[in-house]
Amino acid sequence: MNYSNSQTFAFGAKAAHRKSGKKTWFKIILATLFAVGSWQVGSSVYLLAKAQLAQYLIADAWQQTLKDGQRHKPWSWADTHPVAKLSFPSVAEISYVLEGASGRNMAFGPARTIKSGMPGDSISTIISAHNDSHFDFLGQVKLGDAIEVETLKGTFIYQVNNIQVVDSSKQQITINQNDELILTTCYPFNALQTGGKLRYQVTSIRQ
Amino acid sequence: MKSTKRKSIRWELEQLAQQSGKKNKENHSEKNRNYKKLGLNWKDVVIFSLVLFYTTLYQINVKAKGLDTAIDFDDISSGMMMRFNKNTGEYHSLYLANTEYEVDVFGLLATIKLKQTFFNAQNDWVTEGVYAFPMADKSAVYQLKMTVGERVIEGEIHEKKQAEYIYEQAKAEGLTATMVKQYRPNIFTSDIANIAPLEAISVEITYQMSLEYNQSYYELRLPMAIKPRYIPPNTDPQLPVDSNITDFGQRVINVKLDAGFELDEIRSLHHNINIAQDFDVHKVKLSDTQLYDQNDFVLRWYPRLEGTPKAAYFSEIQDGFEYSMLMVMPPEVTEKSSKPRNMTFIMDTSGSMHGQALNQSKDALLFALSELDASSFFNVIDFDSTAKVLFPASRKATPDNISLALDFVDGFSSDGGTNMAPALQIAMQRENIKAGYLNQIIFMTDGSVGNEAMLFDQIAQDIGDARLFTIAIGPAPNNYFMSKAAMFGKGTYTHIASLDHVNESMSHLFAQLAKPALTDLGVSWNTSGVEQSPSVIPDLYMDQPLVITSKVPVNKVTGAPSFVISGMNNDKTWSEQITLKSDGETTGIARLWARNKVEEMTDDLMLGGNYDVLKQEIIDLALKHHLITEFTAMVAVDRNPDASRMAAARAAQQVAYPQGSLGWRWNLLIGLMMMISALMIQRKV
Repeated sequence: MNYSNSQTFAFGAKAAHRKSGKKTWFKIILATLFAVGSWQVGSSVYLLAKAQLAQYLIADAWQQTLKDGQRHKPWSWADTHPVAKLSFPSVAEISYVLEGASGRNMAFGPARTIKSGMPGDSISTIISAHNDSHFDFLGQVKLGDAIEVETLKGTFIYQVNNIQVVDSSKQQITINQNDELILTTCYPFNALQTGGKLRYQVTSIRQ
Repeated sequence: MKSTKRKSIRWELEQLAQQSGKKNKENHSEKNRNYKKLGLNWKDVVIFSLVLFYTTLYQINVKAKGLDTAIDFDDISSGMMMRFNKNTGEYHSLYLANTEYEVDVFGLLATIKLKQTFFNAQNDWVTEGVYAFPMADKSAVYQLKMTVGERVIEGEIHEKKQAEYIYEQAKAEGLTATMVKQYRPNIFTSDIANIAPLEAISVEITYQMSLEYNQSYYELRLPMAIKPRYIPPNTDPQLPVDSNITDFGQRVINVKLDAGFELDEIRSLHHNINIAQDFDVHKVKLSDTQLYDQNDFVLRWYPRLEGTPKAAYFSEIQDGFEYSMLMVMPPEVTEKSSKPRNMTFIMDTSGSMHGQALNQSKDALLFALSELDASSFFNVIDFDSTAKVLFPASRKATPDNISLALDFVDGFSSDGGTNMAPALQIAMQRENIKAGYLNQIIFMTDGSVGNEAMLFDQIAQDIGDARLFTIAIGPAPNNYFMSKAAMFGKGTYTHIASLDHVNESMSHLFAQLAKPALTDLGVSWNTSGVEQSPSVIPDLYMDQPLVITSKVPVNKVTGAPSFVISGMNNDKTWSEQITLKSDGETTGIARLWARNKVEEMTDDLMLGGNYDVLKQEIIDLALKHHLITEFTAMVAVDRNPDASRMAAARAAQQVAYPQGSLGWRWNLLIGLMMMISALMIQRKV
């Protein structure tokens, strides 16, 4: 008898514990969800803000470059500099192009592949940007649209003559021996996941 | 890297799957109760597990992105490397049409010109090809020449980073360029950029090395193959990607041999040769140019018995210093060592030893066991991916114990990786070391390892009073590893070239081991300011010459420098005085001295010396003497092509598509989902 008594006792104690255990569990889950969730939201907002704000600094640097013909870093610790200004009159968009298509540079703006040429040379110019920041409008650019590129040598006007989607695991960008402008970004637009194989390529010919 | 990383991710997934599987099975019945106990309803459980699932997925994704495209070292089975263009799936190739060795032997020095001719047989430009090739041990690589059509371009030595920059720049500009780098001390790579359609490019490198005197012969070894190296998981380096070259296997070898003494015999171990004599000079060449095999080219020459030199000396004066190389044969030792011996045999039975190599080393080991006398102690360790030891502690060589060992050895078969560290550790630990005995560790392997520096460090730290003797088995061992391991283990390195030589080489080694070594060797000079390499002279065993390179300031007052060598031989002192007289004929001794100095500093680096200081010293020395080292590389750029060639080369280049999205959407979505679910849960409460 004694034995069973003590058991019921223990059971009661456990039940009491369960209630407070439940509360702490909720607190922990809530805290984790909030912490991780706000960290995720924060980091994506940070990425976007960085991408948008950097363009203002880059624009300033480009204005200075146009004035004195020298290279100017958009911020003191940058290891790149603006080399051109891209205008898309048909969709009313403007952005400033950085030198070197590395992941780091592309977080701040469209970037030119160093191996490729510059407008005015008889060799392809390749500029790439992300489809969820600086080139999110690229899908609205249509065949025949004009694209303007302002460089230190002047303003060059290109006309879109080819738009295609390619599989980057099967193909590379071919640099041709004529003055063309190749713009690339990820495809599909508005995708949730990143790191896909498909690329959207807009090729335009110098007018 | 590729495979191991892939493996690790797969491993992770499997672990995950297993864990969740297990949990499912075990907990299925308890599940309901469990979450009720926690006070959670099913929605909470679903949300929580979703969160867990996505975070794991995200982690895996992030890791998977890091996968790179470098070729795994283990995949390379010879000097050849190929590029498979993974973007187009197309096999693009550049032929290594010809390999030519021009060797000039003068006394103890060999100057070797290695000329590789690459041919682009296609109608497309080849933007880049990388070729990895084996390099002779202890060689000082100091010259690079690239021939494009009619133009010959001389290479320049630069710090590695800068050389890479110059090369990449030239490649991007459409200029033809070559860069030669040291990938490992005995593996070099040539990167060649922008080869026109149907064009041949020759890359000629020149190096110098001192020859080894061994037992009763001199040996010249030209490595022909890179063996695949075993690198234990999570320590592996990799070779650069993007190779583009097929080896046609055509080789020409010409040796001009001026030994400086009368020769008894010239012998090539693995290849057919033709020999022609022209006064003192022997001209040796391969009789078959279509050679392609896994054997190193090994040439040995034997001096006439009475002509065996006791000392040899070469020197060169440069910038107010006399650089010299000296070889002395120590006195013949006749009596046996007084100490009893304790021998530990380590045997490599990894996959790379399969076939002849394993049989050979079994033979060698059986021979060694049969030679043991009853007063000795011994033990046997067998390793592949793991190490197995015969006795927990070393035992006396009684007939019973020997027969146990013979059975153990008979059971060896070769498979698995080459994980040396545990075997070495067992051999050097207390159970296998006996105080008052000559502790000798005999290590039989082909040295196909990638984590060399780590092993050297281990040996140097734990060797104590024991001595490590390495025996290389198989036609193309990793000589660099074998000789370096023996050096750090204060023993010697023996290479057994083929099955016929097992008994001969082993009995010689056993004679060496039985006799006391010359220890506590020291050199005292009559002038100051001498820099000598090696700075600490290792013990010398029977028939082993003492070789030192030195840098002495030229001093007209005291005349020729001289020094006294002294050492201990079985508790007796031995010494000899030698005066140096310049021979004024050789060049390249300064370079050799610098090369040895670099090797010493590299050893210090591996043993944990001050990285920045040593690196800078190596770079300074290498730049001064034009040496390719770990931190310096040579690059040749054809700066004067016509403009159309440049433009065509540039136009043929392709660029990979850069990444195309920032990826903030996914994070935002997950974050919002998590916060909303948190709010929902809070509401319910």
